[in-house]
Amino acid sequence: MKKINLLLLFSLFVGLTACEKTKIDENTGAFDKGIFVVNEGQFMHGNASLSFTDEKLSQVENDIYKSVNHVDLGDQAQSIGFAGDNAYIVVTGSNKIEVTKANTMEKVVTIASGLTNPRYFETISSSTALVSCWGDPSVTTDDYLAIVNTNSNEVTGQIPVELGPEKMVKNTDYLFVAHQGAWGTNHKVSVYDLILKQITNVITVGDRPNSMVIKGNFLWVLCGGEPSWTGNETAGQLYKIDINNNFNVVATYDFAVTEHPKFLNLDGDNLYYYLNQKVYKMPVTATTLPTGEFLTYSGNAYNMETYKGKLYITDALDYQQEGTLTGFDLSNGQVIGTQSVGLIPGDLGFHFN
Amino acid sequence: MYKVIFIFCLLIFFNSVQGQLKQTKYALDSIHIHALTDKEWHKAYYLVRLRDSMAGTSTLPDLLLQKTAVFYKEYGRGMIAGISLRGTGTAHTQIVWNGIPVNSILNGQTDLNTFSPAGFSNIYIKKGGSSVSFGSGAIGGVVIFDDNLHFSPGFHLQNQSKIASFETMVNALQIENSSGKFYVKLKSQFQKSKNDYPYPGYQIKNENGAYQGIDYGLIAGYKIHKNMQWYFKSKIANWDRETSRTVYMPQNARLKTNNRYLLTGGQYKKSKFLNRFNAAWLYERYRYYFNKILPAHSDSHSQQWIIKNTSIWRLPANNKFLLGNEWQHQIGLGDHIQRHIRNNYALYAIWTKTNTHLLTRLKLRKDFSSAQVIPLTGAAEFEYKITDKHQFRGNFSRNFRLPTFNDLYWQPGGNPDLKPEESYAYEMGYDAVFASLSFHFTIFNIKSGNLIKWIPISNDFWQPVNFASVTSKGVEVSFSYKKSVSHTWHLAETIQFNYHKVSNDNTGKILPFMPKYVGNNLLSMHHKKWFFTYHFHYQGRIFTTTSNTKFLPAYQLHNLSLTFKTNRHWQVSFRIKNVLNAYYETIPSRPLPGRSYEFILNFKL
Repeated sequence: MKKINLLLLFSLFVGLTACEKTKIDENTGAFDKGIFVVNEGQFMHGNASLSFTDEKLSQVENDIYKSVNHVDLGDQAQSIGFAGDNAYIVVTGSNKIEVTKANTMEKVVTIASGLTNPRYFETISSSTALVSCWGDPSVTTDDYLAIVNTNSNEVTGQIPVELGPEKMVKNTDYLFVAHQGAWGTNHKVSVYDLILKQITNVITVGDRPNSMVIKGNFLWVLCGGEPSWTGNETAGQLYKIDINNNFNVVATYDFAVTEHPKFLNLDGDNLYYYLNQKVYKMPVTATTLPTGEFLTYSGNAYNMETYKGKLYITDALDYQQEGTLTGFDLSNGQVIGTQSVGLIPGDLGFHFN
Repeated sequence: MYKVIFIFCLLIFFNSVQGQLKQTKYALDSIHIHALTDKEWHKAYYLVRLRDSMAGTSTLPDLLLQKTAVFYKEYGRGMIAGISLRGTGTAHTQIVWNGIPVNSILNGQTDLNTFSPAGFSNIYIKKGGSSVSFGSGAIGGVVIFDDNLHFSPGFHLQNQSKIASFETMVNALQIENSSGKFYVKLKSQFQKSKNDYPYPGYQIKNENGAYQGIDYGLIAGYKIHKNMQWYFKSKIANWDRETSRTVYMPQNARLKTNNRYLLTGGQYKKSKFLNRFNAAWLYERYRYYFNKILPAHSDSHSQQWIIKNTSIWRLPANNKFLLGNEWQHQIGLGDHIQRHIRNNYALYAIWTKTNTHLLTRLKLRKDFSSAQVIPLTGAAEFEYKITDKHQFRGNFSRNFRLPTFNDLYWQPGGNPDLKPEESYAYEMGYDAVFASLSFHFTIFNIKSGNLIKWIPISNDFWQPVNFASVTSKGVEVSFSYKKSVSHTWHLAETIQFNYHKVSNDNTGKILPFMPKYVGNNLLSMHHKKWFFTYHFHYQGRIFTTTSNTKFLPAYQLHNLSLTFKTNRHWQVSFRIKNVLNAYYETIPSRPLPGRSYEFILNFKL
């Protein structure tokens, strides 16, 4: 019986690989130009996946990691980053990073040690990247940035940081780490000096900094504030920080107490953020928050990112089915396309080599 | 997001993943109707009576799975487990212990792996909405556990010891004594397992799955005179379990649960009248340690005080009338729930009329709750005997389920404005019972509205809402055959098959985590001192997305057992579970063990 099963399994497997081969051959270079969608998957269901689409969202290929490598991606894929020819898929629940060839998605190696609840990946040199890690989320003092050697693909060290490191942005001198607070809450941005290779400053910002952009000498930090369900609601705030002047806060923009904006992005000279099913556009020179929205989104955004004149919104729908990715043209606010992607689509990786 | 997901996961942990069809245990009802009307019950409804020589060392899911075609899910071997009857959620099956519904008021369910079936006199499964007489939550059906009092003088002792794969040990001891006037039963079951089974096909083991539990109880009864008796019953269960990892996500957590049920009451019985009074205290506590080596944990507990009284009158012209009263005082509190109190009162009546061919029964129930407005519920049933051996039956019922304390008060997210879930159910059936052969056929339809489900309000906040209506329709068929081939060879075969289609009325899609097909086969042979059983269980594929795009594949389990009875006192059994070493999951990414072995030694005095 076992033999028969094995045989059957084997023939199935051969059949499968055969199918996949033809598929990939048809799309040579498969993933060199387009957008990776990191689908988190359901909590503890092990069904995280990757989708790939072109910038106009004219077609999509789902589950690409599995179709190339014939293994599941893991539990709760959080984000994707790139270094050299490789893509780094950060899988929080499985405490690992899957390293693949970015153009083909072929697996290179798994970085499995030294990562406890990894979140985001950011390169800081040709051979080094930092990964924000929560550590044990029930412990508030073990959060760190993992130092990853992108040649050997190993974690080579740790930099202890404040509670709940999340998104990171960098310019030539500094890497900024937003501390949203993991399972708790925080209100800090760490400054990592790329030359001194250490944390040199910790900037206090509003509650739950959730996204950042850099424009010229200024760092913009969007803080969501404490949501009402915490019982301690605070207003969202946008911080403007002067990088070259001691990281002084040069301006803060206050939202109403019940307003909790998120997904700060930059395109050209405009900031974009999301608040209650609306996308707002704000010139970096503005002295006040915009009053009217730039566009309205009919669903609930799970993530929003801009890229070269376009804006992309992911939607997890009911979190129990395939979510969607919708693109908008920033010149006119019109929808350019929408595609069904994987379960709980979150981070986007723009890959145009 | 993560934090809420985590909290959510905690909730889910004690609930069905899919719809969080959590339920409140609540109004109950006349327990021991079947003490007086057992026969009618038995015929009128499809009721499976569970009895098993290995029950002492079995877990409840094991036992239910072997005897019935129910859909069952388990978060890994020995972890949180529940069953689903007639395509309803795991919280729509009420567990009734000695007449008291004991599902948690916090999450609406009873974790079957922490409810030992050892030492009960009877265990029944009763499917369908006619369970209206058990109040809130009995939408899919009820599983009934009874400790009966046996006043005939005598002393009985039974000890069962089991050694099984994955360093598992179970011991169940039961001592009974009756002087004719005074009856006492002591029972205990102890379980311990390293439970480090390999995940078939992966290079990993269930390294965080060890468990240990003790479940014990004292039953005592005193016959005051021939018409009157007093009793005390108890069940105490303390469990300490690590929580199994998934294939892709390691775990380091631990769950401690405590359940205490105490009951005292009395019964007065004359030829045409029976009155039973019960007072019960139920306590539960959950402690979840996210990191088992750290002291930090999330704690929640609840208490219930229950008083109920049931009176049954046998009236002239084959009429029977039952009147029940019941009062519940419920308290829930914990790290995520502020102290809340709910008082419920229920008044209910059942009228039964029996003619030569026709039995009709009407049930009405009105519940009052300090937290919710509960609709009038009830049922109408009939049973028509064509001959001695054939009958038709049918019933129509309206049922409800109260929101749980977690649904109402969990911080963050609890929604105090939730309405009770409501359902309308009907079923029609046909039974044929011959000396060696029996056949049962049931067709059913349950339409449930205001179902409670935790949904994302924003991407960092989830809340339970009354979200949808769901229709579950299906067919249940069972066939059994008994034959004595010769003086020493006896054979019995039971086949059960269920089909249910459970769809969301708004989207038309099949609900996730609900199989369409479940089948069960139990073949047993008896030759002199040897008993052999072959058990086959089939569970159809289960969708895991509301869009019906992803699913867990169907699986088949084959189990064998062989028992040898050396004499009146000793009996040994050997069991092989999952003989074909099939890979199977009932929850995504949580494989259950491949082939495993059990050795059971049974001593009886």
